[in-house]
Amino acid sequence: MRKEVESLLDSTVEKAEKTVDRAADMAEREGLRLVAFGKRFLAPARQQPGLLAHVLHRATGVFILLYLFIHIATVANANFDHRSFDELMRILVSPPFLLFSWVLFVVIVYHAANGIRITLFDAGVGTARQKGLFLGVASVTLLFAMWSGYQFLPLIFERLRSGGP
Amino acid sequence: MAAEIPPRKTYGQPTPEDRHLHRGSGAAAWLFQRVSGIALIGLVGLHFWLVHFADLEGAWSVKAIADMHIKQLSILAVDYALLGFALAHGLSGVRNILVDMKLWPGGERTIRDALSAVGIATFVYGTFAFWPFLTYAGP
Repeated sequence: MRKEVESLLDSTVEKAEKTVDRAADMAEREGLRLVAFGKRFLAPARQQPGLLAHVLHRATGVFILLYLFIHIATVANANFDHRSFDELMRILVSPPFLLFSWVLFVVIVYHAANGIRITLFDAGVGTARQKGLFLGVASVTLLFAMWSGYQFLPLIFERLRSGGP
Repeated sequence: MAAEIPPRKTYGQPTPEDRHLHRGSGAAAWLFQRVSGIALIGLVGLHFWLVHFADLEGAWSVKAIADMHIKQLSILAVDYALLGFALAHGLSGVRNILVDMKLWPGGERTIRDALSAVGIATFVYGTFAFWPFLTYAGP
């Protein structure tokens, strides 16, 4: 049974990849290079949104956990020398680290939104609307990215201009 | 000899005889992952709002962080709950990934024990990390 399911999945994926390739080739022949690139680049999201969401969920989860370890180690510096901790905090509000904080916030929002999507599936809600819910997760992430960018980016540019933290 | 009493029919409820089937099935870990995930959305939101977005332009220092946490014990409670839930949720997720990858068939219990040890050690280290802010007595 398992082998049958696996071969069915393989043939479906193969068929989908061939369709995307054909469409991309057609676009290339018509001189639409950007469209061809878009078709190939977005193929996994269009054909298998569940797989893309799953891979992204795991990758963002590992990233957040690694950051948690680094965050704890950073805060633990206060145990050794208060002055060097204060100096470290000044570095952590410099533009590159503020940019990293923004990216981290967006990654956390994606992980949380997709976590809600997974919980809904587990509860039997929306399983027939995988693509739609994935687009919902992507939209929520984009909205929060824009809102948090509105908070972070002016500060980053201001600090870049003034040259200070 | 007394006749044996047949087990009571429970319709959907596990009987004492088949309860062993549910033990170790991962149902508790699955439920914890969902519940902690929902709790973390609230906790991370509060942490960002109270600690980071509240004063993006502020200069962080031992004194500033100590003042914030001593004045508002609710922030301390949020941070400790966040530490515990984030570690448990994250390490449980790592366990799922390792088990799914089938890198070590039959080693599920060892993976669980090793990750539990990492979680406990990190929680203790997190408490140590927070200590100077709780005992800060001025410069």
